[in-house]
Amino acid sequence: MAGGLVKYRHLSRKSSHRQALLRNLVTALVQHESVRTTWPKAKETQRLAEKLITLAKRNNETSRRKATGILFTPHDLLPKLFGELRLRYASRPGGYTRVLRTEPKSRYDQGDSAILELVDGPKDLRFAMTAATVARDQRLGRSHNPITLLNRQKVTRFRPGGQAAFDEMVKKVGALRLGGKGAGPQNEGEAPAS
Amino acid sequence: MAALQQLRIASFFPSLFPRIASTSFQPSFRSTVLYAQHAQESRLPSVTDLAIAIPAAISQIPSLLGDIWEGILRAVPKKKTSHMKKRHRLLAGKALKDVTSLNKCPACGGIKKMHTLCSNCMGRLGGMLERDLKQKA
Ligand SMILES: [Zn+2]
Repeated sequence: MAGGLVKYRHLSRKSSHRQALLRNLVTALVQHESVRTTWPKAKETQRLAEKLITLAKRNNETSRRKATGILFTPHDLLPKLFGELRLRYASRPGGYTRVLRTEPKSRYDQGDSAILELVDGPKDLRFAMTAATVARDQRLGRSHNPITLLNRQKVTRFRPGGQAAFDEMVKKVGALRLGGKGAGPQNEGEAPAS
Repeated sequence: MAALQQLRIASFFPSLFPRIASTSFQPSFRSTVLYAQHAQESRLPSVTDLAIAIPAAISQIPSLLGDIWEGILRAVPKKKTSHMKKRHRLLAGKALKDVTSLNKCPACGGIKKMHTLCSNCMGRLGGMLERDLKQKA
């Protein structure tokens, strides 16, 4: 392995152990729409998850059998995979999952940690985060950052009723007052829109 | 020649280095006694005998000297290296680095690491999404 081309992360496990780990994670992802693990595990699981959803979109007997081989609880999750998720991603050409870096989950080893989530799902954190940014900009009377605009475009592009859902989320998140008590425009002690 | 030279060494060595002589000369001691008798017969060694004997003796001394210094004089640390000294040495240049890649969270205005979700907003937004999902189900 030393110096050679590594085609996938070995995750310090033998093949069977690694396979079981990835199947566990992808099963949890389909069930819960989002999982939090270390960043390398999230990236490896992402590959498997994308392949699994491609199988769902292919939607034939062979792909159904293969998906059964990947999921640990196919009886519970196959209907969701071949129903809800297949329809959600029908018009999206790949990129069904997203990995977001987070603060280390373990204080002890400070390992890189991340969230793996299904795009456009009910737990889409990038969607909520962008809505929160827009809500804050509106509250402070700022113009939006170009990155925020790009994120909004990405997040609403394939979502059914995307723009309306986004505006609703902006209202909902604005009510959370993420900046804390003193986050109103009058006592915000920072320079606007730079 | 060799007999003479061995006789000389055998006679003056024990007086100079008693410890070495007792250990390293033990095996060859019987032969030197034999040669000592032989030397007493001819009383005084001739000048030519000495002239030839001395260079040979010099050539043999270094190997003996190597044994002499064994365990007597060597450069060694005077004190055990203290725990503090050792840790300072081993950890030199491995101090934690300051994190300078920081920016402001666009959603709450707090400081966060670049390319990383703000943990505060992540918790609150994640919790909100979780609650909504449970309400629907
Ligand atoms: Zn924040």
